[in-house]
Amino acid sequence: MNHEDYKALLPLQSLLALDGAEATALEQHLSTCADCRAELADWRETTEALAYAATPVEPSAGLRDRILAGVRADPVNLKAAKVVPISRPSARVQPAPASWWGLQAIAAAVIFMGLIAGLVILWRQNQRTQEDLAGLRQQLKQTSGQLDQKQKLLQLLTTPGARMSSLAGTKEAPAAHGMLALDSKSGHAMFMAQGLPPAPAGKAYQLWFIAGKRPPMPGRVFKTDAAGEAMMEEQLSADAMSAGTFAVTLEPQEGVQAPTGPMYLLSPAS
Amino acid sequence: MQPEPAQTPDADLLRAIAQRDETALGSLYDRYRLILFGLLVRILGSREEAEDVLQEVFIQVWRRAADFDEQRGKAFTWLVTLARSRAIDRLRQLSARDRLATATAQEAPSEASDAAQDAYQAEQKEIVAAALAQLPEEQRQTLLLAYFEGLTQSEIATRLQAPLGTIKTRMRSGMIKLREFLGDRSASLRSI
Repeated sequence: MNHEDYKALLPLQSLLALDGAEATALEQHLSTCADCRAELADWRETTEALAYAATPVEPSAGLRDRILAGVRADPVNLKAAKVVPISRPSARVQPAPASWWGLQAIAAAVIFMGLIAGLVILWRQNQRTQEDLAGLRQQLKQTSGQLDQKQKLLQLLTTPGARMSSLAGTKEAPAAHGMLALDSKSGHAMFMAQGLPPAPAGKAYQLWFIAGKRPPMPGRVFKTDAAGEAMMEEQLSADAMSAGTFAVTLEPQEGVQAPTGPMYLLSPAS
Repeated sequence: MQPEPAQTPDADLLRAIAQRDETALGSLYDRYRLILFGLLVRILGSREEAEDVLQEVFIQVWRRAADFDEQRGKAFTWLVTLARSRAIDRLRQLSARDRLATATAQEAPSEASDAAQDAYQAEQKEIVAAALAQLPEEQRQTLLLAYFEGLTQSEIATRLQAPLGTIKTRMRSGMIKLREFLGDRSASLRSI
């Protein structure tokens, strides 16, 4: 397609009416053509005026509060995961999207360097728009957040006396997998999970510490990200540190003192 | 919640939202909830789905307000683009059978209240309705199918039993006419 062909697609793209192949081709062209990006923005002014053609409708009264509550709890507000004592199971955890096996940590570092290099190239060539740069900065922030967590994990794993327990998926989630890394001296622990189905509304997963025949001790509640992964830190009490078995169940999202819901992950008994 | 008579410009609200000002987000919601929700209900055919998507849209506004560039267009356009693309995404995720059910059994919007819109929005509604009315029916039809039902050009061609080339031409012509009728507002926003 030549440039005129791409320009002819712009009004259709503003309607979101292009089929897959044409849309993809146009997107690639847009990433290099500031003129077409500006013209697409112009077409959108016309297209989105059509919103006025819809009959206005009042949403339900509670929606405004739900939106503000959702915005207050949004992970983008937080700077770093906080460590909270285990005695309060209602503490919410913000999961970070992370893949956390050793080799992948190296891969993430490579991607991180790649992003740095990419940013440098962009600044020099000055081809991308501010919008694209903002997107890259966002990715960089997320990736460096992930690296912080990986560094913490590495530190934890290389501490003398640290131990790891792997958790296997039960029949509720056979493909799920979890790992708990625990430093029994300090009580500092990190828990990671993969392959868990998203928790239904009002529910969250909860970690449990089981020592011998005693009733399970409650850990923090957490939710998985869009990729089905979660990572969180815990500071364990002396009791919890003696646990040899760990489990994850699905509970009401505030957390509970004793498990009530189905079990999703279980470590082999030590 | 009535908008104040002397309104903070939309772009200022977005700047404040980028600075994590919740009140500004609330104001933006108050200002545009009727239009956005009306749009989403029309596209999705369900109040419940529309509320879900509206919530997602405002989370996106919260996260991405810093990306808005006043030089590129109006804040309202940015907002509606976000809302409509999320709605179309969700609509396209539904199976073909669900989409047919949605299209044929659109929930009658309850509490439609033109009176609650501010004067500016009511005026815009008139302008757009008048512009659409001036389009030839076959052009108007393609634009509305794309805009409100999220159909692609080939899906429209199938629906209307017309060749793809014909549909492309009708849509392009319709958009060019619509832009003329609405006046070329965009030119004043670009710093050429």
